[in-house]
Amino acid sequence: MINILIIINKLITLLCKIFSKLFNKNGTVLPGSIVLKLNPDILTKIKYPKYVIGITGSSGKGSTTNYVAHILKSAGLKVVWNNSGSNVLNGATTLILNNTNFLTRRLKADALLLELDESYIRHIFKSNNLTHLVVTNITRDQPSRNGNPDIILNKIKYSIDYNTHLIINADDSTVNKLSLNHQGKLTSFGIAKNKYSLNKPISNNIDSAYCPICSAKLIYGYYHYGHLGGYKCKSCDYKRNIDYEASKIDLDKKTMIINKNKISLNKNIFFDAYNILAAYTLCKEIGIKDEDLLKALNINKIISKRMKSLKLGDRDVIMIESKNENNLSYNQSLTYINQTKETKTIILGFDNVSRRYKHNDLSWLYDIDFNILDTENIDRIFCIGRFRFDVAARLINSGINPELLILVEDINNIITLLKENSTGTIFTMVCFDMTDILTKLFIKEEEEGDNDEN
Amino acid sequence: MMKIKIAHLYYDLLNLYGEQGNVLALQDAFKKQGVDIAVDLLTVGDKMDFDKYDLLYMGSGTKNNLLIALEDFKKHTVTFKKAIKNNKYFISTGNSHEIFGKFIEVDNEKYKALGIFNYYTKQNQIRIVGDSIMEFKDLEPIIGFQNRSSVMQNNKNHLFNVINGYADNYKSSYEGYLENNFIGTYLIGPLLIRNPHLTDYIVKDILENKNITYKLIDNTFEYKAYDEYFKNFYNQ
Repeated sequence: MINILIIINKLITLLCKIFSKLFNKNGTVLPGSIVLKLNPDILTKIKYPKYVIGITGSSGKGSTTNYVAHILKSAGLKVVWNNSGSNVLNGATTLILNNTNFLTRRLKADALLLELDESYIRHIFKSNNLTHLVVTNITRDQPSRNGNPDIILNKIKYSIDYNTHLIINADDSTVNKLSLNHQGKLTSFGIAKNKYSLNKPISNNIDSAYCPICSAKLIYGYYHYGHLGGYKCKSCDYKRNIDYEASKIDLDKKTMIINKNKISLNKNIFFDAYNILAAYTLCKEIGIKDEDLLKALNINKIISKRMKSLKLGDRDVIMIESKNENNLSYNQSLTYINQTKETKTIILGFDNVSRRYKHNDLSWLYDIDFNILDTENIDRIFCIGRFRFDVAARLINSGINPELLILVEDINNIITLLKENSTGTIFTMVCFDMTDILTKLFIKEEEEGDNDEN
Repeated sequence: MMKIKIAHLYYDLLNLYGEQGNVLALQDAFKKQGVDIAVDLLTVGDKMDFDKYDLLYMGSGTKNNLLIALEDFKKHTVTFKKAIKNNKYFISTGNSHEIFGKFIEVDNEKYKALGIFNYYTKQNQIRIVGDSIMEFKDLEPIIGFQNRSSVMQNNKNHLFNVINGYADNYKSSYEGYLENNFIGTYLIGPLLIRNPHLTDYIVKDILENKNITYKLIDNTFEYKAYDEYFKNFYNQ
């Protein structure tokens, strides 16, 4: 029966591929969903490869997964991974079964590598087949769906057991709580204090500010982002213990040092250091040689995909996708924008809080450090979407000069408004849906501009 | 110049859903009235002299953080009771008002709470999540959001009539606790930003008690956002 289900999965995937071309839809979910209805336990019947690696966390799991896949493949391993980003149950099932031999039930690879949504780990691996699990960070993320960070932490904790080698970001005081109870092997990574570190947090909304053992307030030596930084308890011996530490981060030169090795950053974004460090730590722990690691990270680099760049006349348009309901995602975008010294115009706002549900929770807007934008080289900030007034109110409450704000009632007018009322590089920091809408408008404008010239 | 003082209690423990926004809303509203405003951030171990303040605020927390705050607040019980009796404004959003009840039952454990009010809270089987519309006195409706794991029982001092969304528990049609100027609600997040008329109601009351004339300023983005919410989501 299992063998037949594997074949069914493959056949439906084939059909989906044909139809997805016709209807322009992603066909990675349907096969898995059908097969799971026929046998909910099918994934426990598969013979998994030597390495079954999960990458989870609130942010950075997609990029970290990309880096790990790149390094493992460069080192000659056959890797099956969810590069389409389908990180929940149905998508993972489709992927696993499509790469499994229907006679032997063996997954045909040296490593199965999955970017995993925290809530779905225990559903995908009911009998915990994970040999390694990387936890990038745990922050406030889609509270309507996930609840609070402690709930997310517990979901991860109860998804694994001593068979899994945990690789954790110990700069994150929430993630580091996993080190207290995990019975299996545990390796940690973190970034040392550097020229980008902050002496105090930008705002007061710090998670896990108290010791998980004795409830005393943690003492921070420095902060990187939100509650990520260097800390220890003043009353007991709880502290951040690091096995793999990155230091001497230089975003201009795009370099850092990990365990005496000079490593290239792919992007001039601080958080890229975390993603590469996580990938480096995992790959070292599964025995990838330095030589292969350095070759993959420093010579045959991968092309980054997160930031899109367009033009409006002679102005650059840089599109930074920022995930709603995730303050770390927005704070990363803000930090990146703040790093650039030129005059700039920013576009912010959304029509819907989420693509998944209709809830209108706006709490996360007040967890984002918009005061980072209170600098002199901001020319204008355009507030777009149905929540533009909420966004504008939030910006003013963060100390932004109200005169900088332009509220856009009809998104179709934004190009004209940008041309007539603003200067400098345009940064969009909006969610996926709005990025799509804006991309179309910028491309249309560019094409019409080209036609005019002809 | 008259100075208004606000305390954000357990700012580093009970601030889970962007609730510093409520303090910002109050700061902004008092500033617009031309009044000087100071905010103190207080937490575990700090002296809490409630008499010094015109308004006290507490937001949501994780279970562990709520229990840390509960433990610390034990030493402030007497002064808290006196402050509430003297009509001190005390606003508690999210789950923080749970600590003032009889007990908190969560993860199959029962924690004795401060016992100041008669209600008690128990963990619900599923999380309660969604938009809410509430009626409060003769004000325009209150909009907000709930994201909680518990239900409240034995609450006789109702704060809101529920127009849409969740009540204290599944049998009730009321949400939140009101005693004098203690306002405790399961609504989370920047409640006072999203409901500028509620903020103005509180600000007006505080100022008039100090014989300061209040003037309505309702041309703000907060008021526009409030109208836009009804336009987009409520009248559909």
